[in-house]
Amino acid sequence: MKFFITSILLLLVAVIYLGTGHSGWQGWPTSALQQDIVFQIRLPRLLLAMANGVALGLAGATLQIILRNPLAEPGITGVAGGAALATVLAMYTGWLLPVSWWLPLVGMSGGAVSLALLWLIAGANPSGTRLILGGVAIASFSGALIALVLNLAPNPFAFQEWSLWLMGSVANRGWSHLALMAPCVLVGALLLFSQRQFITAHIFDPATLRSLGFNARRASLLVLFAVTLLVSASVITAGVVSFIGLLAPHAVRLIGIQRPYPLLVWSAVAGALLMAVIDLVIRLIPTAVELQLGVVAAFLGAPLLVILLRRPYGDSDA
Amino acid sequence: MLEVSALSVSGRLENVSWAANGGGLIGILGANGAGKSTLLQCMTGQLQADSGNCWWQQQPIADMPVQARRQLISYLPQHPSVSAPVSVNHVLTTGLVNLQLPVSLDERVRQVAREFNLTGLLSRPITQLSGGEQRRVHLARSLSSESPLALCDEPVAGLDLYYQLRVMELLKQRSDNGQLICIALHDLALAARYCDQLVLLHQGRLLASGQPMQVLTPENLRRAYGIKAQWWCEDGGVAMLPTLCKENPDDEC
Repeated sequence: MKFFITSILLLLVAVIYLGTGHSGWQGWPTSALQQDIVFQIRLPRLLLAMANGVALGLAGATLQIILRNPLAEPGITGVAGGAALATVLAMYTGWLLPVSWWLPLVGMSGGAVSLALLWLIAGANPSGTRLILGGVAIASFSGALIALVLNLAPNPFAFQEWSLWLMGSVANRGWSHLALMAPCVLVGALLLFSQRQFITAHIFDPATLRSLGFNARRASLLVLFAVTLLVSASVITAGVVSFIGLLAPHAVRLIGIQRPYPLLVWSAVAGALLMAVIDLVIRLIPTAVELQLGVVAAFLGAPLLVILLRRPYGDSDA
Repeated sequence: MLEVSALSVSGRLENVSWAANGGGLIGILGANGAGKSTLLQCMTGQLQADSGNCWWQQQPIADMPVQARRQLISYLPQHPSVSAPVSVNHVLTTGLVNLQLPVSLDERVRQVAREFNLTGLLSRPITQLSGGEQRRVHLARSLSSESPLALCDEPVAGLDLYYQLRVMELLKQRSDNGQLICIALHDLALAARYCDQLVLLHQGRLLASGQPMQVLTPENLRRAYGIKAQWWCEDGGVAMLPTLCKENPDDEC
């Protein structure tokens, strides 16, 4: 039933997304120009928004499960901050071409450096608290350095461009961005799938978990690497989009899905749906300058989270 | 079979040595902070001792591959918990991960649920159960693997009197069937009644080990707990009435 309703919802959002806009026509494209608008602009943008939602939903759910903390989200590990800092630095120094393989490499290097720092700070057997506090320290430091780079922006245009990029957006993206994003999401999701038993066993306290026969260091590293890949890919292609990683798993829990593995899968779906809806709202709001994804995600996400939390949490799904 | 040799953990255990002779139910006793949980953690291989070792059939447990340890040992920590409102069935199923079982996973879950009287609770979220019921689920989870060595830290803590006796009977029955079970306990009457061997710790050191009546002597109880005890034995049951023999447990009697 959940699968059926979600499929209908996704289809409905996709149809509305592809069929509406400010181009003066609604519905199925008939002319070559309209087909270009749909297949070269709207479709890649929709798919990129959904891929970002999948990445952030998966990363958020994974972090909440393995850190046993419902407040965890991609930003809290410092990975998003690291990827954003690396990309802003690359923009500042002028290394970054608009779209090339430099783009993911630079962003992912930033994310990976953050992850390595987090691993060093948290120690050999990282506890949830150490990981979160280490992540907060790295995120704060990255935020300060990003502010410094913005402060040293060579001109107001660069300052505005980088600031807008940091707020997150999937506007003016094409198939090339999706080609960057899709393999990262696929590899990240497969890595998490390969470690699903280890992730599932995080329902237990650390002492019980350690007795269940996992190579915890290797498995933790693989899971954190997958999260880094997903978050970095999202930052590279869409900037910093907050709230989706936090909101998607909570929305899924509120419909009664509590077991870790289904929670991961449905958080990916919920993330995709949320991002598509938010980007649709952005596209349909008639503003002179298009609103940024991160802004609207937080603007809609925060009240939605409060509304959802006022309902009782869903029971076990056995 | 199981041997602990000259085990020391800084500030917690000092040169503790004892051996389990054959299978059986072994009670690890001692006042708060005596080192019971630390000893069990070392025996699981999770806590690296500063010196000394725990051996299973002449092989150091800490050096065993993770998978071999998983097949050998089941462990109930002192404060087990489940962080999500998942069903009891899911907890028991997840607790059997990384094991080779002679029966199907579902069959094993059903067996252990029957054994611990959890069948009616299988579909309930564990977070909605009472503290004692949750404790039974954790105990069932830890003993579901039927591994050769079971280490349980205070398995009857938080259980009502019926389940305290029922759990001890079950542990005794399992140990009679060849499983070696080490439990940390505070109830000396249960220890005297059910355990085949006791290990009494005092301030991180071994005070005594052996058969219950050799260990639970007035002198050992005075030193380990600062209590005097009156014992009654009747119809296979054991009762004990403790009285304080000193104001502060750290004072010498």
